[in-house]
Amino acid sequence: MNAIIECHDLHKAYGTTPALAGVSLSIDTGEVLAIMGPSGSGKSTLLHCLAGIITPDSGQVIYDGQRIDCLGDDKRSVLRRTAFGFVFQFGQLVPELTALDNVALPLLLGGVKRREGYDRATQWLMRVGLDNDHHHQLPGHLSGGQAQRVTIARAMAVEPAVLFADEPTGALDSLASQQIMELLVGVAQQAQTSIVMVTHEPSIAAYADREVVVRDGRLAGQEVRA
Amino acid sequence: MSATYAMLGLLEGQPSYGYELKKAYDHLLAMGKPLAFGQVYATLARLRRDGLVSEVPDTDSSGGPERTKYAITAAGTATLHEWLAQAEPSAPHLQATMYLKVVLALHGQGEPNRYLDAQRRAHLARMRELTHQRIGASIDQVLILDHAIFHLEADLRWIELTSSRLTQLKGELHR
Repeated sequence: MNAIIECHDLHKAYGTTPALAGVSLSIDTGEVLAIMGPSGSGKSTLLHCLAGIITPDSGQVIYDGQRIDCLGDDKRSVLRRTAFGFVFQFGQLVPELTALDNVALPLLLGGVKRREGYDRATQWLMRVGLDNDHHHQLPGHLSGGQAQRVTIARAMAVEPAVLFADEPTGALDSLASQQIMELLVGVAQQAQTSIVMVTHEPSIAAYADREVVVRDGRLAGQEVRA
Repeated sequence: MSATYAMLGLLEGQPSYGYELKKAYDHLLAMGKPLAFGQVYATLARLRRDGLVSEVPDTDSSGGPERTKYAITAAGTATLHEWLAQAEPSAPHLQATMYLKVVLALHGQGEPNRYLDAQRRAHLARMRELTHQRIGASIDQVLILDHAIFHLEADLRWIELTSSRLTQLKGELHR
Protein backbone atom coordinates (compact mmCIF):
# COMPACT_ATOMS: atom_id res chain seq x y z
CA MET A 1 0.00 0.00 0.00
CA ASN A 2 1.13 3.58 -0.71
CA ALA A 3 0.67 6.44 1.69
CA ILE A 4 -1.84 8.91 0.25
CA ILE A 5 -1.37 11.37 3.10
CA GLU A 6 1.18 11.57 5.88
CA CYS A 7 2.55 13.98 8.42
CA HIS A 8 5.86 14.24 10.21
CA ASP A 9 6.53 15.77 13.62
CA LEU A 10 3.58 18.16 13.53
CA HIS A 11 3.51 20.92 16.13
CA LYS A 12 0.71 23.41 16.57
CA ALA A 13 -0.10 25.76 19.43
CA TYR A 14 -2.96 28.17 20.01
CA GLY A 15 -1.26 31.05 21.80
CA THR A 16 0.74 29.40 24.55
CA THR A 17 -1.48 26.30 24.61
CA PRO A 18 0.06 23.38 22.68
CA ALA A 19 -2.45 21.38 20.63
CA LEU A 20 -0.03 19.11 18.73
CA ALA A 21 3.38 18.27 20.15
CA GLY A 22 5.09 16.11 17.54
CA VAL A 23 2.66 13.86 15.67
CA SER A 24 3.77 11.60 12.84
CA LEU A 25 1.25 9.52 10.94
CA SER A 26 0.71 7.85 7.58
CA ILE A 27 -2.55 6.83 5.90
CA ASP A 28 -2.64 4.42 2.97
CA THR A 29 -4.78 4.67 -0.14
CA GLY A 30 -8.21 3.26 0.67
CA GLU A 31 -7.48 2.97 4.38
CA VAL A 32 -10.03 4.05 7.00
CA LEU A 33 -8.33 5.60 10.03
CA ALA A 34 -10.05 6.66 13.26
CA ILE A 35 -8.47 9.38 15.37
CA MET A 36 -9.63 9.02 18.95
CA GLY A 37 -8.87 10.85 22.18
CA PRO A 38 -10.45 12.89 24.93
CA SER A 39 -11.82 16.40 24.39
CA GLY A 40 -9.01 18.91 23.97
CA SER A 41 -6.43 16.23 23.16
CA GLY A 42 -5.67 17.73 19.75
CA LYS A 43 -7.49 15.22 17.54
CA SER A 44 -9.51 17.82 15.58
CA THR A 45 -6.41 20.00 15.19
CA LEU A 46 -4.61 16.99 13.71
CA LEU A 47 -7.45 16.40 11.24
CA HIS A 48 -7.53 20.10 10.27
CA CYS A 49 -3.75 20.10 9.67
CA LEU A 50 -3.95 16.96 7.51
CA ALA A 51 -6.84 18.46 5.53
CA GLY A 52 -5.03 21.76 4.91
CA ILE A 53 -7.67 23.72 6.81
CA ILE A 54 -5.02 25.06 9.17
CA THR A 55 -1.25 25.09 8.83
CA PRO A 56 1.01 23.58 11.51
CA ASP A 57 3.61 25.71 13.29
CA SER A 58 6.24 23.17 12.25
CA GLY A 59 6.44 19.73 10.70
CA GLN A 60 5.29 18.49 7.32
CA VAL A 61 2.01 17.38 5.76
CA ILE A 62 2.48 15.42 2.56
CA TYR A 63 -0.37 14.56 0.20
CA ASP A 64 0.30 12.25 -2.72
CA GLY A 65 4.04 12.81 -2.39
CA GLN A 66 3.89 16.62 -2.21
CA ARG A 67 4.11 18.93 0.77
CA ILE A 68 0.91 20.85 1.33
CA ASP A 69 1.67 22.58 4.64
CA CYS A 70 3.67 25.27 2.85
CA LEU A 71 1.09 25.96 0.13
CA GLY A 72 -0.69 29.33 0.10
CA ASP A 73 -4.34 29.71 1.03
CA ASP A 74 -5.51 29.66 -2.62
CA LYS A 75 -3.73 26.43 -3.51
CA ARG A 76 -4.86 24.71 -0.32
CA SER A 77 -8.40 25.84 -1.04
CA VAL A 78 -8.28 24.27 -4.52
CA LEU A 79 -6.82 21.07 -3.04
CA ARG A 80 -9.60 20.86 -0.46
CA ARG A 81 -12.22 21.34 -3.16
CA THR A 82 -10.80 18.86 -5.67
CA ALA A 83 -8.93 16.15 -3.74
CA PHE A 84 -10.60 16.13 -0.35
CA GLY A 85 -14.14 15.59 0.86
CA PHE A 86 -15.57 16.65 4.22
CA VAL A 87 -18.28 15.20 6.42
CA PHE A 88 -18.65 17.08 9.68
CA GLN A 89 -21.25 16.92 12.39
CA PHE A 90 -23.18 20.11 11.77
CA GLY A 91 -23.77 22.99 9.47
CA GLN A 92 -22.16 22.04 6.22
CA LEU A 93 -25.18 22.15 3.97
CA VAL A 94 -26.28 25.51 2.63
CA PRO A 95 -29.73 25.89 4.21
CA GLU A 96 -31.19 27.95 1.33
CA LEU A 97 -30.28 25.34 -1.30
CA THR A 98 -32.09 22.07 -2.01
CA ALA A 99 -30.36 18.74 -1.38
CA LEU A 100 -29.64 18.46 -5.13
CA ASP A 101 -28.20 21.99 -5.33
CA ASN A 102 -26.03 21.32 -2.30
CA VAL A 103 -24.50 18.24 -3.90
CA ALA A 104 -24.07 19.92 -7.29
CA LEU A 105 -22.50 23.09 -5.85
CA PRO A 106 -18.89 21.87 -5.32
CA LEU A 107 -18.94 20.23 -8.76
CA LEU A 108 -20.02 23.47 -10.43
CA LEU A 109 -17.44 25.44 -8.42
CA GLY A 110 -14.84 22.94 -9.63
CA GLY A 111 -15.67 23.72 -13.27
CA VAL A 112 -17.96 20.79 -14.12
CA LYS A 113 -20.59 21.79 -16.66
CA ARG A 114 -24.04 22.43 -15.22
CA ARG A 115 -25.85 19.51 -16.86
CA GLU A 116 -23.15 17.01 -15.96
CA GLY A 117 -22.89 18.40 -12.43
CA TYR A 118 -26.60 17.93 -11.80
CA ASP A 119 -26.57 14.46 -13.35
CA ARG A 120 -23.73 13.39 -11.07
CA ALA A 121 -25.42 14.99 -8.06
CA THR A 122 -28.63 13.10 -8.82
CA GLN A 123 -26.76 9.80 -9.15
CA TRP A 124 -24.99 10.33 -5.85
CA LEU A 125 -28.20 11.20 -4.02
CA MET A 126 -29.76 7.98 -5.34
CA ARG A 127 -26.64 6.05 -4.36
CA VAL A 128 -26.83 7.24 -0.75
CA GLY A 129 -30.44 6.10 -0.58
CA LEU A 130 -32.35 9.34 -1.16
CA ASP A 131 -35.07 9.10 -3.79
CA ASN A 132 -36.40 11.89 -6.00
CA ASP A 133 -38.83 13.12 -3.35
CA HIS A 134 -35.90 14.28 -1.24
CA HIS A 135 -33.81 15.87 -3.98
CA HIS A 136 -35.69 19.14 -3.99
CA GLN A 137 -36.12 19.52 -0.26
CA LEU A 138 -34.25 22.06 1.81
CA PRO A 139 -31.86 20.63 4.47
CA GLY A 140 -34.12 21.94 7.24
CA HIS A 141 -36.91 19.65 6.02
CA LEU A 142 -34.75 16.52 6.13
CA SER A 143 -34.12 14.28 9.15
CA GLY A 144 -30.63 14.26 10.66
CA GLY A 145 -29.80 10.98 8.95
CA GLN A 146 -31.10 12.18 5.57
CA ALA A 147 -29.13 15.43 5.86
CA GLN A 148 -25.98 13.45 6.63
CA ARG A 149 -26.63 11.29 3.54
CA VAL A 150 -26.72 14.51 1.48
CA THR A 151 -23.42 15.55 3.08
CA ILE A 152 -21.85 12.20 2.14
CA ALA A 153 -23.16 12.53 -1.43
CA ARG A 154 -21.72 16.03 -1.63
CA ALA A 155 -18.35 14.92 -0.27
CA MET A 156 -18.10 11.87 -2.56
CA ALA A 157 -19.41 13.56 -5.73
CA VAL A 158 -16.06 15.27 -6.31
CA GLU A 159 -14.41 11.81 -6.19
CA PRO A 160 -11.99 12.75 -3.43
CA ALA A 161 -8.81 10.85 -2.68
CA VAL A 162 -9.29 11.47 1.03
CA LEU A 163 -12.50 12.06 2.95
CA PHE A 164 -12.16 13.84 6.29
CA ALA A 165 -14.92 13.24 8.82
CA ASP A 166 -15.23 14.92 12.24
CA GLU A 167 -17.75 13.17 14.51
CA PRO A 168 -19.78 12.17 11.43
CA THR A 169 -22.61 10.65 13.45
CA GLY A 170 -22.44 12.96 16.46
CA ALA A 171 -26.00 14.20 16.10
CA LEU A 172 -27.62 10.86 15.22
CA ASP A 173 -29.18 8.03 17.21
CA SER A 174 -27.64 4.54 17.30
CA LEU A 175 -29.55 3.09 14.34
CA ALA A 176 -29.02 6.11 12.08
CA SER A 177 -25.34 6.12 13.12
CA GLN A 178 -24.91 2.49 12.04
CA GLN A 179 -26.63 3.17 8.72
CA ILE A 180 -24.56 6.27 8.03
CA MET A 181 -21.28 4.54 8.90
CA GLU A 182 -22.06 1.52 6.75
CA LEU A 183 -22.91 3.88 3.90
CA LEU A 184 -19.86 6.10 4.39
CA VAL A 185 -17.35 3.25 4.60
CA GLY A 186 -19.09 1.32 1.82
CA VAL A 187 -19.03 4.10 -0.78
CA ALA A 188 -15.49 5.12 0.18
CA GLN A 189 -14.22 1.55 -0.20
CA GLN A 190 -15.79 1.21 -3.63
CA ALA A 191 -14.09 4.43 -4.74
CA GLN A 192 -10.76 3.55 -3.00
CA THR A 193 -11.16 6.80 -1.06
CA SER A 194 -9.25 6.96 2.22
CA ILE A 195 -11.14 8.15 5.29
CA VAL A 196 -9.61 10.06 8.18
CA MET A 197 -12.24 10.25 10.88
CA VAL A 198 -12.24 11.93 14.27
CA THR A 199 -14.53 10.27 16.77
CA HIS A 200 -14.79 9.72 20.48
CA GLU A 201 -17.29 6.89 19.91
CA PRO A 202 -15.71 3.40 20.04
CA SER A 203 -18.61 1.96 18.04
CA ILE A 204 -17.84 4.42 15.23
CA ALA A 205 -14.08 3.86 15.43
CA ALA A 206 -14.82 0.14 14.98
CA TYR A 207 -15.67 0.84 11.33
CA ALA A 208 -12.07 1.93 10.75
CA ASP A 209 -9.23 -0.35 9.68
CA ARG A 210 -7.03 1.17 12.38
CA GLU A 211 -7.26 3.66 15.20
CA VAL A 212 -4.80 6.06 16.76
CA VAL A 213 -5.30 7.79 20.09
CA VAL A 214 -4.24 11.41 20.61
CA ARG A 215 -3.32 12.28 24.16
CA ASP A 216 -1.93 15.70 25.13
CA GLY A 217 -1.06 16.47 21.53
CA ARG A 218 0.82 13.22 20.89
CA LEU A 219 -0.17 9.81 19.59
CA ALA A 220 -0.42 7.21 22.35
CA GLY A 221 2.68 5.10 21.91
CA GLN A 222 4.61 8.09 20.55
CA GLU A 223 4.68 9.87 23.90
CA VAL A 224 8.00 10.83 25.36
CA ARG A 225 8.13 8.77 28.50
CA ALA A 226 9.43 10.49 31.62
CA MET B 1 -4.77 -15.86 39.78
CA SER B 2 -5.95 -12.38 40.80
CA ALA B 3 -4.72 -12.84 44.37
CA THR B 4 -1.28 -13.74 43.05
CA TYR B 5 -0.90 -10.53 41.05
CA ALA B 6 -2.63 -8.51 43.76
CA MET B 7 0.01 -9.61 46.30
CA LEU B 8 2.81 -8.77 43.85
CA GLY B 9 1.26 -5.39 43.07
CA LEU B 10 0.78 -4.48 46.70
CA LEU B 11 4.32 -5.56 47.55
CA GLU B 12 5.71 -3.41 44.76
CA GLY B 13 4.74 -0.37 46.81
CA GLN B 14 6.77 -1.53 49.82
CA PRO B 15 7.68 -4.71 51.76
CA SER B 16 4.77 -5.76 53.97
CA TYR B 17 3.53 -8.31 56.49
CA GLY B 18 0.80 -10.73 55.59
CA TYR B 19 -1.83 -8.95 57.66
CA GLU B 20 -0.92 -5.60 56.04
CA LEU B 21 -1.36 -7.15 52.62
CA LYS B 22 -4.77 -8.50 53.59
CA LYS B 23 -5.77 -5.08 54.94
CA ALA B 24 -4.63 -3.29 51.76
CA TYR B 25 -6.31 -5.90 49.55
CA ASP B 26 -9.61 -5.66 51.41
CA HIS B 27 -9.47 -1.85 51.25
CA LEU B 28 -8.42 -1.40 47.62
CA LEU B 29 -9.32 -4.50 45.67
CA ALA B 30 -11.78 -6.78 47.45
CA MET B 31 -14.97 -5.22 46.02
CA GLY B 32 -17.03 -6.82 48.79
CA LYS B 33 -15.10 -10.11 48.81
CA PRO B 34 -12.39 -9.89 51.51
CA LEU B 35 -9.46 -12.28 51.24
CA ALA B 36 -9.16 -14.98 53.92
CA PHE B 37 -5.92 -14.98 55.92
CA GLY B 38 -5.34 -18.55 54.81
CA GLN B 39 -5.43 -17.51 51.16
CA VAL B 40 -3.04 -14.61 51.78
CA TYR B 41 -0.41 -16.87 53.38
CA ALA B 42 -0.93 -19.70 50.89
CA THR B 43 -0.42 -17.22 48.05
CA LEU B 44 2.70 -15.75 49.68
CA ALA B 45 4.13 -19.24 50.23
CA ARG B 46 3.59 -20.09 46.56
CA LEU B 47 5.14 -16.80 45.42
CA ARG B 48 8.14 -17.41 47.69
CA ARG B 49 8.54 -20.94 46.33
CA ASP B 50 8.54 -19.53 42.79
CA GLY B 51 11.10 -16.86 43.65
CA LEU B 52 8.71 -13.97 43.05
CA VAL B 53 8.79 -12.72 46.63
CA SER B 54 11.35 -13.14 49.39
CA GLU B 55 11.33 -12.90 53.15
CA VAL B 56 13.12 -9.85 54.50
CA PRO B 57 14.51 -9.27 58.00
CA ASP B 58 11.85 -7.91 60.33
CA THR B 59 13.08 -4.60 61.72
CA ASP B 60 9.95 -4.04 63.80
CA SER B 61 11.21 -3.86 67.41
CA SER B 62 7.85 -3.55 69.12
CA GLY B 63 8.55 -6.72 71.07
CA GLY B 64 5.60 -8.65 69.72
CA PRO B 65 5.75 -12.17 68.32
CA GLU B 66 8.18 -12.73 65.46
CA ARG B 67 6.56 -12.07 62.10
CA THR B 68 7.51 -12.58 58.51
CA LYS B 69 7.84 -9.61 56.19
CA TYR B 70 7.76 -10.06 52.44
CA ALA B 71 9.32 -8.12 49.55
CA ILE B 72 8.89 -8.47 45.82
CA THR B 73 11.95 -9.82 43.96
CA ALA B 74 13.25 -8.66 40.56
CA ALA B 75 11.60 -11.72 39.00
CA GLY B 76 8.35 -10.83 40.78
CA THR B 77 8.50 -7.26 39.45
CA ALA B 78 9.10 -8.51 35.91
CA THR B 79 6.18 -10.97 36.18
CA LEU B 80 3.89 -8.25 37.53
CA HIS B 81 4.81 -5.71 34.85
CA GLU B 82 4.38 -8.26 32.10
CA TRP B 83 0.87 -9.01 33.37
CA LEU B 84 0.01 -5.33 33.83
CA ALA B 85 0.96 -4.47 30.25
CA GLN B 86 -1.00 -7.38 28.78
CA ALA B 87 -4.51 -6.78 27.41
CA GLU B 88 -7.14 -9.23 28.57
CA PRO B 89 -8.97 -11.17 25.84
CA SER B 90 -12.12 -9.16 25.08
CA ALA B 91 -15.01 -10.78 26.90
CA PRO B 92 -18.03 -9.57 28.87
CA HIS B 93 -17.68 -8.81 32.57
CA LEU B 94 -14.01 -7.91 32.60
CA GLN B 95 -14.55 -5.06 35.05
CA ALA B 96 -12.88 -6.75 38.00
CA THR B 97 -9.65 -7.56 36.14
CA MET B 98 -9.47 -4.17 34.42
CA TYR B 99 -9.98 -2.41 37.75
CA LEU B 100 -7.39 -4.63 39.43
CA LYS B 101 -4.74 -3.88 36.81
CA VAL B 102 -5.28 -0.12 36.93
CA VAL B 103 -5.22 0.07 40.74
CA LEU B 104 -2.15 -2.15 41.01
CA ALA B 105 -0.31 -0.19 38.31
CA LEU B 106 -1.15 3.05 40.14
CA HIS B 107 -0.14 1.55 43.47
CA GLY B 108 3.31 0.45 42.29
CA GLN B 109 5.63 1.55 39.53
CA GLY B 110 3.55 0.29 36.59
CA GLU B 111 2.13 2.49 33.85
CA PRO B 112 -1.67 2.33 33.81
CA ASN B 113 -1.85 4.06 30.40
CA ARG B 114 0.26 1.29 28.87
CA TYR B 115 -2.27 -1.28 30.04
CA LEU B 116 -5.28 0.88 29.16
CA ASP B 117 -3.91 1.47 25.64
CA ALA B 118 -3.33 -2.27 25.16
CA GLN B 119 -6.83 -3.06 26.45
CA ARG B 120 -8.37 -0.41 24.20
CA ARG B 121 -6.62 -1.93 21.18
CA ALA B 122 -7.81 -5.43 22.10
CA HIS B 123 -11.41 -4.29 22.66
CA LEU B 124 -11.50 -2.25 19.47
CA ALA B 125 -10.08 -5.13 17.47
CA ARG B 126 -12.88 -7.37 18.79
CA MET B 127 -15.45 -4.63 18.21
CA ARG B 128 -14.19 -4.26 14.63
CA GLU B 129 -14.68 -8.00 14.04
CA LEU B 130 -18.22 -7.85 15.41
CA THR B 131 -19.03 -4.70 13.43
CA HIS B 132 -17.90 -6.37 10.19
CA GLN B 133 -19.99 -9.45 11.03
CA ARG B 134 -23.02 -7.21 11.60
CA ILE B 135 -22.91 -5.71 8.09
CA GLY B 136 -25.25 -7.84 6.03
CA ALA B 137 -26.14 -10.21 8.91
CA SER B 138 -29.68 -11.48 9.49
CA ILE B 139 -31.79 -9.51 11.99
CA ASP B 140 -31.47 -12.08 14.77
CA GLN B 141 -27.70 -12.05 14.39
CA VAL B 142 -27.72 -8.24 14.27
CA LEU B 143 -29.49 -8.12 17.65
CA ILE B 144 -26.97 -10.48 19.25
CA LEU B 145 -24.03 -8.61 17.75
CA ASP B 146 -25.49 -5.24 18.88
CA HIS B 147 -25.64 -6.58 22.42
CA ALA B 148 -22.01 -7.75 22.38
CA ILE B 149 -20.86 -4.47 20.82
CA PHE B 150 -22.65 -2.36 23.45
CA HIS B 151 -21.00 -4.35 26.24
CA LEU B 152 -17.58 -3.76 24.73
CA GLU B 153 -18.50 -0.10 24.31
CA ALA B 154 -19.27 0.17 28.03
CA ASP B 155 -15.80 -1.19 28.83
CA LEU B 156 -14.23 1.21 26.35
CA ARG B 157 -16.03 4.19 27.88
CA TRP B 158 -14.69 3.11 31.26
CA ILE B 159 -11.18 2.88 29.78
CA GLU B 160 -11.43 6.43 28.38
CA LEU B 161 -12.80 7.89 31.59
CA THR B 162 -10.22 6.11 33.73
CA SER B 163 -7.45 7.28 31.42
CA SER B 164 -8.66 10.86 31.93
CA ARG B 165 -8.77 10.39 35.69
CA LEU B 166 -5.35 8.80 36.21
CA THR B 167 -3.69 11.90 37.71
CA GLN B 168 -6.50 12.31 40.23
CA LEU B 169 -6.56 8.58 41.05
CA LYS B 170 -2.81 8.45 41.56
CA GLY B 171 -2.99 11.46 43.88
CA GLU B 172 -5.71 9.84 45.97
CA LEU B 173 -3.99 6.45 46.20
CA HIS B 174 -0.71 7.97 47.35
CA ARG B 175 -2.30 10.40 49.81
